[in-house]
Amino acid sequence: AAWFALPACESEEAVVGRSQSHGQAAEKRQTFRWLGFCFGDGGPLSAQTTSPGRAGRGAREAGGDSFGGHRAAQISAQELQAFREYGESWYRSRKGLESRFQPREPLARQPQVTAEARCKLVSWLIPVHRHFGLSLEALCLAVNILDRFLATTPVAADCFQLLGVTALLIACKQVEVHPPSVKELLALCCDVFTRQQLRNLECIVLHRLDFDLAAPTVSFFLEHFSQVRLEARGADAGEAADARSLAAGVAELSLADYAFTKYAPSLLAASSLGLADRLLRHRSPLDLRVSGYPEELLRDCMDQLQLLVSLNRRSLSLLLPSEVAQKCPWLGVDR
Amino acid sequence: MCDMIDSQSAEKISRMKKLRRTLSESFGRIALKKEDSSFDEICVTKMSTRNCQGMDSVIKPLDTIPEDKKVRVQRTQSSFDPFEKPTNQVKRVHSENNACINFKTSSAGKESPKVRRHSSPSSPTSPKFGKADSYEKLEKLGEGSYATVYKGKSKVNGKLVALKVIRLQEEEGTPFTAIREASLLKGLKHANIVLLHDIIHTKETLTLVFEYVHTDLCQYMDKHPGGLHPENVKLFLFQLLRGLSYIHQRYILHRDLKPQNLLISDTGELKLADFGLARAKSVPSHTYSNEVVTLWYRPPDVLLGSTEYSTCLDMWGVGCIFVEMIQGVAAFPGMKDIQDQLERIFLVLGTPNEDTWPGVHSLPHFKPERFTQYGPKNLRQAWNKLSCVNHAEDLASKLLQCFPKNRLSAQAALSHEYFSDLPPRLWELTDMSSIFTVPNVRLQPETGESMRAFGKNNSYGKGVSNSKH
Repeated sequence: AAWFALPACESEEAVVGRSQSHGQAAEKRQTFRWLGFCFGDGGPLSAQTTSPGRAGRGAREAGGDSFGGHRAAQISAQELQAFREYGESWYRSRKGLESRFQPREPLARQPQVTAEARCKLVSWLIPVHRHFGLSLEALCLAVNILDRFLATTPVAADCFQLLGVTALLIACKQVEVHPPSVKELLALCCDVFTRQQLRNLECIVLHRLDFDLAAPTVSFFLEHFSQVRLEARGADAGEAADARSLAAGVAELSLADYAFTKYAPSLLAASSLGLADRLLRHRSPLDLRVSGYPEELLRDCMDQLQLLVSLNRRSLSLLLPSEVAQKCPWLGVDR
Repeated sequence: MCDMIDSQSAEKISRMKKLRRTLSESFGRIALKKEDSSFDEICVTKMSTRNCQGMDSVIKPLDTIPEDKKVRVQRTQSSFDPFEKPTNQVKRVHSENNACINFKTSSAGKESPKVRRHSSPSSPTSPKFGKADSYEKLEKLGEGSYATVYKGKSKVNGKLVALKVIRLQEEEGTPFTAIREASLLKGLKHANIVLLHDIIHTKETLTLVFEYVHTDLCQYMDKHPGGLHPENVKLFLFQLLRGLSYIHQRYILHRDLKPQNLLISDTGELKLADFGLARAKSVPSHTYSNEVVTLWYRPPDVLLGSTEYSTCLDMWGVGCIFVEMIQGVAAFPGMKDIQDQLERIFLVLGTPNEDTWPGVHSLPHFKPERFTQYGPKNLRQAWNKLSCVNHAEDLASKLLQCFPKNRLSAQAALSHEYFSDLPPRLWELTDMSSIFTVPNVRLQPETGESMRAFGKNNSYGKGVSNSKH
């Protein structure tokens, strides 16, 4: 097995582990602390956008995608232009990369990390990425990095959360203008990990993944299919934007569920949009044939997504921009 | 299968319920706002076997899953242990924070002097951090803000390489520029994109090993002042567009085009380099930092504060570089600030208004009263040598459009008449083929004929050009 080991281990089977001795179970439990979430200097979450472009957090928040990405309606002329020129080739090149970046049963060989733990970790990363005003793209990439790393390397329970923030950090360095600082990320883990540990794990992850980080994401395909839809005759921009927002929320939920790792991002994106259109009872839904998937595959994925949605209505309502959530009475949640 | 289709939703739900696992605690405490600690958890579905279950089922209203059927694990304050599997099969070792360097396979390093590449298909069981001593470091070629570039020589095959040595930061770990450059270049294989051979990771540094290309366009123009040979300009521009078209089609922007980043080999091959600021294009909602392009090559929309970059961002830089190659002086060598840079642009292209550039008034830094009102000119009035080459002025003017939407794309530019006298085979090359594989395509000597041919000009211009930052 391709296990990462720290030095002086007696056997081949060691895992990425924090510095810690075997017998310190109590300490171990303590270090695995998702919850006490100290916010350091992060301050309260705020959605306000400062003037774009300038340094620091202002620009990050101005990204605006963080709250369900309800900006599809505001696609700029430039972006539409670029889409017209390049959309099809982007789609083909991204889609062509999907299988290479698809993690295959990432937990199959994990001795400690379970699907539940993964769910918990991703369920934690979701509010964390929102806290920093990061894009859905960054979150998707982080989960992809996480899964692909898990597929290569057994990870100890007590550094699984560290792996989560490391994956998020790497993803942000890849696609965000202003990645969160290491200090901020460590503070979110209640400082149970050290800067050095994060740096080391970052090295290991980058190395293991061979710097192959430009994975196609659900976020990309959501964007693409939404653009295709806007280009279609008789497109309803409002419906397209709502469907995109709801689908983004659904896709976000699906990241946390291990069962959905078997679906390719483009399939998840198309199915999320299809489900969103149905849930919102849209008159001119996206023609799912653009995804190129057979109907039964789409339907299977949509069914699973619907089940997921039904189990997580409350969480979903929190992932949606309020104007979209209001259009979803079945969420049954007062906001 | 068919009976599955008819299966009642209740049955399906009960099956799902059985399989469903819920997780607790995940969102609970992550109180983004103190009063809003309501993000409970994400319940997972457990998918059953891959049959066509539910295939034909209509999407049911969500309410069909009764609340009481939802199993939710109680939150517990303590003794959280998500890891069910016995831990005794896992052997961990206590050590101090050095997972990155002291792998158990560190002995592998002694075995052979073989170059250990990130990209090698070797066994995944042992970490293969490339070894810095696989390459002999020769002279320093340049120093940037986060990296130093050395000429180097492979000890394996004797080939020259460029070693971009990136210091790992104490604070933030691997610089984002290195991560982007490495991850993007790994996926790019094109004759006009610099080739990344190897990645070497050591404790303090990350070294990207590139093919060695002996000069760059900036040095080349300095060496041959007064404008390049028109045939060479055409070949360089063609290659630049070819490389850009390749990356733009792959959802990547370069974002930092400038002569320094265009490497030129001794045979005249041009290669796009320095992808540290590049990123995969991400539509539509991300803002990019608007401080990325060196001022001279920065398009007016970005100067005016637009953060909605697209592929046309790079095309402005192409126009500037084109003019600079022909004329021998930078197209818009702003001396001071953004305002000055914009004035220089508007002086030639005319000050934009809502007619020539819909939406310009809503850009953050556009204040009509701040700019002198200039009318548009012919580009040849600003850069006289454009008139000496067929179709050059037309191509330049289609690239140097203030309104981003009007800018020619890389692909479209390749079909411009300006290139019509090049051999047709150039458009049929495979990605990795150099244009110099086509018969009769070769670099012309820059003997200064171009200066004689076009007369007059430009000792003054060169002074400016040399001072570029």
